[in-house]
Amino acid sequence: MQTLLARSFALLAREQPQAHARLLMPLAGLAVALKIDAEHFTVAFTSAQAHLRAVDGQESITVGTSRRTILEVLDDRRTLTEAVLSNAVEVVGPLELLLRAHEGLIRYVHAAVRCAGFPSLLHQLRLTCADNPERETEAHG
Amino acid sequence: MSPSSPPPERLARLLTGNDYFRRSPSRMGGRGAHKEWQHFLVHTEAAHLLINFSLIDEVRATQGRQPEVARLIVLARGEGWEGDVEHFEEAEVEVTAGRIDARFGHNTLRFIDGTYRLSIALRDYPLAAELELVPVTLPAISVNQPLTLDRRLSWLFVPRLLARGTLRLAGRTVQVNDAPAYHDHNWGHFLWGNDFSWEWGSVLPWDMTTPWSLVHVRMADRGRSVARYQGLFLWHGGEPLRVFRDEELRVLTRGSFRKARPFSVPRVMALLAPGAAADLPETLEIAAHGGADTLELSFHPQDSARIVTPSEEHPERVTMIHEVLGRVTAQGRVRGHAVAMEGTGVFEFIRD
Repeated sequence: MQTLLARSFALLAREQPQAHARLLMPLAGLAVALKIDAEHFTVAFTSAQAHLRAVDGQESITVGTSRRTILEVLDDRRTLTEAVLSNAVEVVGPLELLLRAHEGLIRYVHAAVRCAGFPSLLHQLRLTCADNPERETEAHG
Repeated sequence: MSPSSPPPERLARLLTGNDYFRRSPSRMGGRGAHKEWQHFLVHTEAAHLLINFSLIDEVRATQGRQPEVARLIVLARGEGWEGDVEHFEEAEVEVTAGRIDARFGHNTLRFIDGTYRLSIALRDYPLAAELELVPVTLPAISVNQPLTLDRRLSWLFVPRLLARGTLRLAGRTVQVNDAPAYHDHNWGHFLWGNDFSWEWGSVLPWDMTTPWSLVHVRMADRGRSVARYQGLFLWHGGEPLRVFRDEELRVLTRGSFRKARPFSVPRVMALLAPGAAADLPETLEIAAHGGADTLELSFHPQDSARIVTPSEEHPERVTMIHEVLGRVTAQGRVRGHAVAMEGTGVFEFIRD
């Protein structure tokens, strides 16, 4: 996931630079710790880029979920709201920062659906889930 | 009375000469923002099927990429909805300008011996079809009709075809035998998110010996406060009988048709269009009067799905194309004929 996410930001910066800049606006200054199945890493945002690094405990927001849940939301089998309310996506942080993170997420999706290279990344995400089914259920099965 | 069809050779000649892919002038360094699609509806006992082969200029095309992008949209409503929007790389696409002939990956649209041949299979969902669609009515052709104040849309439609072949949906294979079908082809230069909306409905009778076929087209501004074009096209058998236009038509909508959880394609777009708000009518009524002719049509939505596409005018908005399936009744008197029919309608509503 970490690799795919890093590639997605690089792809947006290259193919959709304006949309990439717009998605960073609400996110600049935030560091989000992500726990996706067994992977644990941080995405830190500046006004110019998203940077992936190891978790250091200084993050303002933490998000925990599974690749299976991510695919369920992307495939509209459950809404993001349903996923949060059922704790399939756990988000922790100050409300004001969570609202900024949500705005950034929506801008990320708007950019992604306008980016020709994204279907290939989504396909690879599906392959990682198929390759490793036991890890899919690990966090939120 | 069984409706009579025009001679197949005449239909084949007309369609070959008019229904061909135009393709974007941007390929040759010309004007961009071109959109074009070949659209088919098939109503079988097992499912209602929508198949759309489209070529769309990407407004924000990546450097080095061809702006014209091929997409296949397939929707099927059987016991529930199934479908997807698939994109194809340049190397997977063969479309010859001037012909009705397209290959998007393993999916094909051909026009052979006066018959549309469709072969489609979605990559990730259990939906496939092998169909022959035989036109049985003359087409209608309208060129450069107003879409916005400065954008134009052209179209050709065939109100009635007969579909034969097989449909595979959710693990079940269904034979299709002379099922009613509809086809249109649209092309023009515009952006999703421009100041327009449309209602586009095709109506076919449940009893295929009924000679009447109907198509409703209405172009309006985004707020639907101004209609820029409207027409109700009536076919008797294979021949056009009457077109009611503009001031001859009154269109009235009542109530609100809502689905708690609308089916969206591509599915990921549901993230960008959460909620149930759709601004669809519970009933759409059209009253047509002109000279001694009168025709009244009522459309009652029963189910809907939506194709959600990114706005090309705004980086964080979407345009929704609602495909609404419902029951239609029509009655009146036109050119001395008593018109009475009940049937299936698919009305498309653009909202953004």
